[in-house]
Amino acid sequence: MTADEARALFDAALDGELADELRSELEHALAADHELRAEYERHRSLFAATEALGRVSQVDLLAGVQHKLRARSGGKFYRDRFAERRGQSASLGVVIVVSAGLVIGVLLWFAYSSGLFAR
Amino acid sequence: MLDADERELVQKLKLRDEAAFSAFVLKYQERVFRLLLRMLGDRAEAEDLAQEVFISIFKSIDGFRGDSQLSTWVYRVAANHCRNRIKYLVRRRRQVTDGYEEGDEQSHTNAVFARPAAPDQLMEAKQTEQLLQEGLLSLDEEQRELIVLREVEHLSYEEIMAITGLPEGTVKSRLHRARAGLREHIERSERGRRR
Repeated sequence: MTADEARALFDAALDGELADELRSELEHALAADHELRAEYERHRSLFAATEALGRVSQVDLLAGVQHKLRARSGGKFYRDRFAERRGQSASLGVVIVVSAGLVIGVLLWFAYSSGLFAR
Repeated sequence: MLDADERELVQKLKLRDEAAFSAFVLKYQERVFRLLLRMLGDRAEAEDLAQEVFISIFKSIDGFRGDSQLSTWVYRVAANHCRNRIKYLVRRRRQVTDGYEEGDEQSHTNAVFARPAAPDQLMEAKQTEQLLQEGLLSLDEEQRELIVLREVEHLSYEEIMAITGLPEGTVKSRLHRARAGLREHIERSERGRRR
């Protein structure tokens, strides 16, 4: 096996996909050529090092995803319960203020019509 | 293809069950984010895009027929979004720099994704990670995607074929070139540092 033929097998060897016969030939070639062996080891250690790329610091996407879905669905999904409660109490306040205004209006009208404001 | 738990999860997702979707995001967020981070090389960009991937899945889950694993489909959606985002970023970069910078598309791509150099000395593990990330970003996007799926996500060739839509021979030959390119970049960087 030539050095180039051996190099062509590096990936398959790393993937564990070499047939026994070819693996044995590759091992033979690596044993006979120290430079090729060093090259193979560099290749192997590089891909062992890619493990480092698999380690990423924790990420929490859920709140962002929920927020975007809520906004884009017009509140249909992941409705904000807190906002909903605030919304209810705000509506209640409006009803109370309007009702109070009506009662005061009616009382003033009675007072006016019964001559309480007449000089 | 799907086990009972996944089938149940998919059914709930199709009903737009919010609790099930939240559980789904928590289950897959790390894988999606890692793929995008390694492809884009930018944490904020990867976080934003990962959120878009999940929103897209929420909308398009009805299109999942269950003829692949759910994880494979999720990776496919993420990879498609990532390719589109890279195109967008390259286009935006080109518009900004047009007429001001010289260089080919590859250098534009790298400039878009380049990280600022850390001012302080980094620990060895951090240096290795950075060197590898720079090496990844030096590859074209197809090669980078294959390296990430195979070497970082440890997916099988069958899964990679399902995600990329490429035949096995093409996956293997491109991966071979990608590995050689990555190794060459790392060795060149190391030689540069020794000088």
